[in-house]
Amino acid sequence: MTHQPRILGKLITPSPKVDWEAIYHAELPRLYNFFRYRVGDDRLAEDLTSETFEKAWKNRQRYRHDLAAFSTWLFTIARNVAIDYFRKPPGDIPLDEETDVVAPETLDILVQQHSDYEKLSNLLAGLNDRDRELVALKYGAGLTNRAIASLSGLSESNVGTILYRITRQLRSAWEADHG
Amino acid sequence: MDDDFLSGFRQPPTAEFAQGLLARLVDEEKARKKTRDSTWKRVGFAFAALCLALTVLLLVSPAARTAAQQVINDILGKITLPGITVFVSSDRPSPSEFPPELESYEVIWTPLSPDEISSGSSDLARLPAWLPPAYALQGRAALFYQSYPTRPIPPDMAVFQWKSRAGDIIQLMVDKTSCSYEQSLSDCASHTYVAMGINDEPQVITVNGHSGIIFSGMTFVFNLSDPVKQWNPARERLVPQGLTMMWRDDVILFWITTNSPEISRDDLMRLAESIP
Repeated sequence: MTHQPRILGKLITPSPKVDWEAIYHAELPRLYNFFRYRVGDDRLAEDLTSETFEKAWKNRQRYRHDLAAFSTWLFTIARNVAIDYFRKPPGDIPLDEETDVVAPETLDILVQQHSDYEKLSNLLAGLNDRDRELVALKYGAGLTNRAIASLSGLSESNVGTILYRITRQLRSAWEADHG
Repeated sequence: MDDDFLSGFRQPPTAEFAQGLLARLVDEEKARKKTRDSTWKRVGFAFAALCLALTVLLLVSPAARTAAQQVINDILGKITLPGITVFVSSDRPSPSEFPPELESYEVIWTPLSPDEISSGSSDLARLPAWLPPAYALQGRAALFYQSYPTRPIPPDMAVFQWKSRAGDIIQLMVDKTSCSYEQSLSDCASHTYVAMGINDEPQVITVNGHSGIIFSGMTFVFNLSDPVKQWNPARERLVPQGLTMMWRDDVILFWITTNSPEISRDDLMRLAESIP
């Protein structure tokens, strides 16, 4: 009899409450940077990030017992959102971009950063789709090779080999450009 | 390999974007929840209303009860009515499948005229007001005493017979034998079992508000010239053509059977409903 209340108590204990807001703040920068590296445009990266979160948010309760799976699922959606974006005719891609007003003392730094980012974007634009996606997942989202392997369907060692080749190729182009 | 030049361009999303997106996600979630709750509420109300309507319909309409019973019966292969269970299978069950209590037994009756039954035991003289044309009530009927409490006992079953010029017959059994005297149906273990094949086309019917069953074939014939009969109502299927109908009111089992191919189910229903 003494066990019964304990068992009942266990059965009716609610599952721990998930802090979705904290998860949102943790995943948002990774997702946003994935898109920045993938499309090379901050404003567009925001739009695609929003679209991904809106799709994922509706069904997030499904993953409350496995938050790691939620992250993987989020990037699965992100990859599809990116694929859909690149399938659209060029006319549908927004070209306008707002220019933020910045303090004069930081302008030089920002100009340099922007210039470097543009150079990198141009280099990334020269990669094929798969290679650019791998770079975005690795260096934009900061995912491990193992996580990338499970998302892309490649083996972990294959991911490592491909990324090594791409990095070497990009580095040599980058250094040539910076002379 | 040094890959800082690749990872060095990460930057956090602007606070405005991060907060705006979160606010939108939360708002959309609230809107979805509201829609979902209201949808479930509507579905719940609709379901409750449907259940209520169905319950009311079943309570007030014997025909609806009959139809519902028919659906259940089609699923279960067994028709259970108050005081009557009908086993329906693609083949008629063999006698060995019947419960032992359904073994044949001797029935002894007292030959009397319908008038004598009416005057002596009015509750058994439940004669129909309507009969198919050209059928005449026979002068000899039967009265049964099957319960044996302290005497004197009242009779508890009667059989009446009508005959046409062509020799076809209709027999009506009015039976309260299953319950002891002064017991109502709910106080005793009264139950009648009937087995039939699906080819007998069993059909659940309602007679004056009471559920019953009608099926093809004549199930019993009392030879009213002989006051003894070996009888097992579940096994008997004397004539494949014809019809049998049975139903119970609160205390009495009515059992009508005919060997006439001329009498339709509607005729039998009309006859049954004319019984007071």
